[in-house]
Amino acid sequence: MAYGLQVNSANGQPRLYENSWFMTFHSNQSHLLGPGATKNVSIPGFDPNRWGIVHLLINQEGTLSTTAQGLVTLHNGYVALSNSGSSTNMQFDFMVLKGN
Amino acid sequence: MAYGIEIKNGSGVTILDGNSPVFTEVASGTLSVNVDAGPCYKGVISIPSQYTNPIVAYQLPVGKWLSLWRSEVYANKETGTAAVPYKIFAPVNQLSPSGDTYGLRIYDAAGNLIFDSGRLVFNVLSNHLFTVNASLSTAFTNTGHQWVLPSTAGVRGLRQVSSNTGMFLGAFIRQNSSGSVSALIKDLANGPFPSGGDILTPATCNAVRIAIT
Repeated sequence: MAYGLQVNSANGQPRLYENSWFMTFHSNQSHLLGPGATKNVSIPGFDPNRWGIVHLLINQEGTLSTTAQGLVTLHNGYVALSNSGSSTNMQFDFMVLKGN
Repeated sequence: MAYGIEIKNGSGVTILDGNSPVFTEVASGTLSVNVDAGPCYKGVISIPSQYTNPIVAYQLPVGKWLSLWRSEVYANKETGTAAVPYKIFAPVNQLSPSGDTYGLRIYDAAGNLIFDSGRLVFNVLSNHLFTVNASLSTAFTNTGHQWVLPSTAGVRGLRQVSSNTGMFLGAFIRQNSSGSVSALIKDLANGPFPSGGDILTPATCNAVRIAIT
């Protein structure tokens, strides 16, 4: 690199350099949606100009029918949740990671 | 941020914002995926209980169709058993500082560790956009690697067919800076590969390939 900051570990392995692309922890949330429900969840402090990941930790209540389904979509600044099943609650647990 | 450190690269892209902890490696191993009830082959990665918000990366053995869900790795009948290298990461603020006596540590305004040059972290190598449609027939290639979503109905996972470098993050969706991306959510009660049992929403998804540094 021509300029900037590079940090190596004590044994000489590069840990931080110009092309580093980390994913960092931002926040996590938990929401319970009944059958057919949808919900938009805001992500306070999330910069829509940065790359993001929603890491899904989905739980469910009761016995799922084979037609149960859910959808999570990360938009700029919020996460849309949808339980399109007809008979089962869905517990949406997720964490948001942000990158470069 | 009002004060502290923010690190950007030469293109002005934020690498570290001084507020959010990086994910650092806390455990690794090789998972045995074996016969499970129903149509699945399955293995469960044991995550140390002291870590909250862990994230798991796994390496795709060449030729194996695999799907990662939380800490569970599934294979279909065609894939059968598999030995799957994996790594577990947790936010670095859940660990004590490394033993390195020099390097760089960054703390947030509340005094929480967010970066430690003595800890292994992962870097994103590349991301791969692909569309999952009703036929489940799609593929994407990148820098000599080919990843395939198999076309057989009821068989859903990723397979790497050539050389194998980097690891893969599962159970996620992502967005880029300009739009939204949807994802599949599988039916935990039935596993990812049953006939008609898992969740399919036609969607655009990303696979993220990482390297450990």
